[in-house]
Amino acid sequence: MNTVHGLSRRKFLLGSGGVVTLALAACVAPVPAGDTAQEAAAPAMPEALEVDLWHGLGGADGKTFTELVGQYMEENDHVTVNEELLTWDIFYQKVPSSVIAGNPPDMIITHEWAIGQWGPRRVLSAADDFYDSMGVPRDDFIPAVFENIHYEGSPLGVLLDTHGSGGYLNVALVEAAGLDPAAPPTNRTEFVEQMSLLTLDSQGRNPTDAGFDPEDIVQYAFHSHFWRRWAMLEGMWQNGGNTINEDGTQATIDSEEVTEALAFWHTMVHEHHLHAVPVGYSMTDSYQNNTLGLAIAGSWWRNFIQDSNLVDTTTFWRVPQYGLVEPVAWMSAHVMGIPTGTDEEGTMGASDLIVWLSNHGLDWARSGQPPARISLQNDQVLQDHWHTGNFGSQFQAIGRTEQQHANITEIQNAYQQEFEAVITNVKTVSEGIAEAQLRVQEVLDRDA
Amino acid sequence: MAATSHEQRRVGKPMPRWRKLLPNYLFLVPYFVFFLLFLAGPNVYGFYISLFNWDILLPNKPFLGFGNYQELWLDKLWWLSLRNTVLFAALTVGGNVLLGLFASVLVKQRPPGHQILRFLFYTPVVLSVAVMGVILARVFNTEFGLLNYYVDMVGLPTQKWLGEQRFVIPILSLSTVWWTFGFPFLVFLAGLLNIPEPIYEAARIDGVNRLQSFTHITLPLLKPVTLFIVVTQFIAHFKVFGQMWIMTLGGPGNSSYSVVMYLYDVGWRFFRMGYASSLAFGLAAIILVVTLINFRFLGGRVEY
Amino acid sequence: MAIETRTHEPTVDYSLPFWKRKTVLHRIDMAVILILLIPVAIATILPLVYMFSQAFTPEDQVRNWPVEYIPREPTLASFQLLVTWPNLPIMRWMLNSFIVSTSVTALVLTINSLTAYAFGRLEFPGRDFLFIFVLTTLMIPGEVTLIPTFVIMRRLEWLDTYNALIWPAGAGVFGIFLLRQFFQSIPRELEDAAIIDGCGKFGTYWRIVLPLSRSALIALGIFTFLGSWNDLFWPLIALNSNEMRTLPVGLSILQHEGYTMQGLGMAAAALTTVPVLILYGIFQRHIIQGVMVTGLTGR
Repeated sequence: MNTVHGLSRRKFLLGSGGVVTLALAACVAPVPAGDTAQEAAAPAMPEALEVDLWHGLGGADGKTFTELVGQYMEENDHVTVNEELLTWDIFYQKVPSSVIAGNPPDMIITHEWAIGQWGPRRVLSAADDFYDSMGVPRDDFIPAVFENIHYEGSPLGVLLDTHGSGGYLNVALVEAAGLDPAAPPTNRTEFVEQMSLLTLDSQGRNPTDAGFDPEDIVQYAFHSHFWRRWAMLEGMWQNGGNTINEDGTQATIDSEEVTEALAFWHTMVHEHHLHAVPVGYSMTDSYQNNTLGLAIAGSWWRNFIQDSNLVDTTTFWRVPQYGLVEPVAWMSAHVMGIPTGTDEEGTMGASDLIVWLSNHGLDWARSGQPPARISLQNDQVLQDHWHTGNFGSQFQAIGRTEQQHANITEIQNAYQQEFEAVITNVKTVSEGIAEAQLRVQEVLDRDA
Repeated sequence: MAATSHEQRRVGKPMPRWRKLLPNYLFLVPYFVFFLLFLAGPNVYGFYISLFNWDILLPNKPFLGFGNYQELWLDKLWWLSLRNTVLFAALTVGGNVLLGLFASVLVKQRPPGHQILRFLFYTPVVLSVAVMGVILARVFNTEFGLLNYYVDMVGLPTQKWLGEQRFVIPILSLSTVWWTFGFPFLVFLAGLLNIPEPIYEAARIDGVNRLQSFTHITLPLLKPVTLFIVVTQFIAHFKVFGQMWIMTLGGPGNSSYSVVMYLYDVGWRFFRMGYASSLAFGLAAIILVVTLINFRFLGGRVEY
Repeated sequence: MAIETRTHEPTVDYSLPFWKRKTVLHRIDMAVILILLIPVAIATILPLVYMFSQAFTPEDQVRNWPVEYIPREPTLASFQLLVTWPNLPIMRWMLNSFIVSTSVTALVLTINSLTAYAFGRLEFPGRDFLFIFVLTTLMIPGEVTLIPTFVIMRRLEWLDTYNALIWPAGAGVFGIFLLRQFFQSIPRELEDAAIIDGCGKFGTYWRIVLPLSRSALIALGIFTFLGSWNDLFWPLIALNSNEMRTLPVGLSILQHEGYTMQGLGMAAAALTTVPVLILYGIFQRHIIQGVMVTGLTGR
């Protein structure tokens, strides 16, 4: 019963004893980096702090995050962190709603691609203080990604990690198909050839064999997590295309590059049968049950692989190049930020937690997400790790972040719906492309 | 009424008319506060908002005139969601009316246990759409759903019920009929019990068989009840949201995307409140047209 | 106005058609009717039975075939998990639902009965015009008011509080319509007697009209309570924080969050449903009569 009619316990505390401690807390010195520094800063904090934290880390990485928060609370026993886990879809609806309601959480973990949308809507407060006075070094982040979280010259939060997609390869299945796990395909022809050996019907036939029964497939060659966005972006980027142009004025979905990418995806699903129709298909279940050769999934799969005892049978592949121009892997970053309208005490607690998490990037890497701090990324143990090391170097080599836009959710929604209609054969490729182009252009024109 | 007020006026001074009438109006005050704030006011305000590019989080809200309505007219997604919604509503209302009528005609004959049946048929109506969606999502699940289990048992091929364009709206309609047919069932039953028995008795004496008495007596006399059901059911099912939002999220490929889902996305995911408002008025206009059509075809008085 | 539901069967009832009298033919008829109706009844109830059986089935058996409608090893594990699961304050959700639904019911009964009394029993200029005016708003679907009400709630700073869910219900029209019909059927002599006894208008309303309308008030109260308890769309958009959610909102978000544990979702659905089923069981006569009366007056 924390909140009745909008009055939270935190506000109540603030009204009673909290005021005095707040006044004291104003003299908190900037928190230097490192664990021991936390102890020193603690006495000046209010006696009891609550931090309401919203995030969508509901995948395998959520486990590590909750452990981290637990560790933080142990080290700072005057702070209670109320984690609220939402699906990202609902998260992206509820965060702005809570700012509208004037009752936002104290802290959120959002994505780097969303900053362009939060900025003009004042959903997040400027986070200069973290860098100016709380010891987070500005130059310890990948410059391009750091630049992405700025709005009107100010960073709107602190980067937590770098994450994105990569390939999890079932070694046994690949070897059974007569392929070499150490020799990934390097172009489209090789990709299709190799993958064709990995799809099997119940009689053990490949799609290229005579008598192959596409209604009776028991093992798919590969699957791409969250097909509608990440895989499609990778597909078009690898072709040299994109959804919108750089200044966000022109939709470029009806370009040859994007059309070709979508058509190729359609072929992979419906003609080559390398990839299941991505509706009602569980990639997790299939990979776990050894009925999927290559899972192109998120870096946050590390816990899932470990907990399912799949480490020994899994090897890492960079996202293969099946496009025509260059290899690209989708990447993004989690951003820790403080919403507009958070009260002073909440801001204080959230700030402390953000700095702590930023410093504990190596612990967060246990989830599979390489740290955002370059100094931490260079850690040798991390670099040598089969999972995190490979993901980290992949992002540095071929990682690419999404184009930002003030209405990115709407743009994503538009092309995702149309691409899904194509892949489920509700629309043809040219219909889907034309429609997506029209819808995205309409969003861009509206703000011009 | 005219006479009493005339008398009151003649009584004259001791108590002015307005003082006598004042308490009557006072009874209405509480309601009209709510009425203005949450019903009449929002209707007007909603129309006002629909004239702007009204992003609730942006300070700048440019005036568009009827620009949102123009956009709506050209918006393929609106027409698609409307098509889905009309299809869904028509199937659901049709199914509800047929099943409701069928069950009520039989229950009216008071078979043994008819009260239990009456109780059971109405039970799903008291559930939340959330509960209904959670249960039926499991029933129609491709891999381990009840339906596929029984389909497989009788030797038919299993299907991706909610994953295929041709099935998804009919399945959602079927689910909704399961959930709501108890309402038309009870209303039809009331209508049937309200038909005087001597009419049937007289018809029987005239040698009319059961089927004839159903088509010539029951159905015509049920016309007003049918109108009530069809009108209210269409209004209710045009607003469909929860079933889709929980069971399909509008998929596959938008083939179960409803108008109110679109309203939700535009208003609360993209925060385009102005356009969302014009969507709501578009939906209101469609509902009005359908209601008028219903009255045109089912209206008219019935004499006993 | 009241519906004759005929709960008992007289030995000889000449008002009935001959085929309903107890003859051999009658028995055949009844058998045919039951053969037609029983499958409908089973289909109606099966998903509910499925929900309860899954809620009580151990998690590792929920996908077993054939389905055990009566679990072989019934367990409360899913419920225990549900109540102790972090981030799923389901008891809090239930409390929220209860507070909101009860308040809405109290509000609607108060406001609507006052208004219906004025419209149905009192006389004053403009009465019929106002009544028609209120009724015409029934023609405009409620979706139109969602956006503006949201904006108004923001101005009032009521978003994410109970207020946002409770007060808009005060503008409901249905109850006015229903109660007005009922109040008009109360004999005027009773009211006159009360006025002679020195009751004012409010006294008449409070001491005569309301007590005589008990069944109508109960029916309206139950419908209002159920409607509020089950509502999804408005609470979904008006509430943000986890601890403010009502049961349907919590349940549907739970479904979205893809908790792969089937038993957990079904246990939550069952918990949401049990209070409703209890209410329905207790008040079924009022509910069924209420629907039937509404259906007939609605024409």
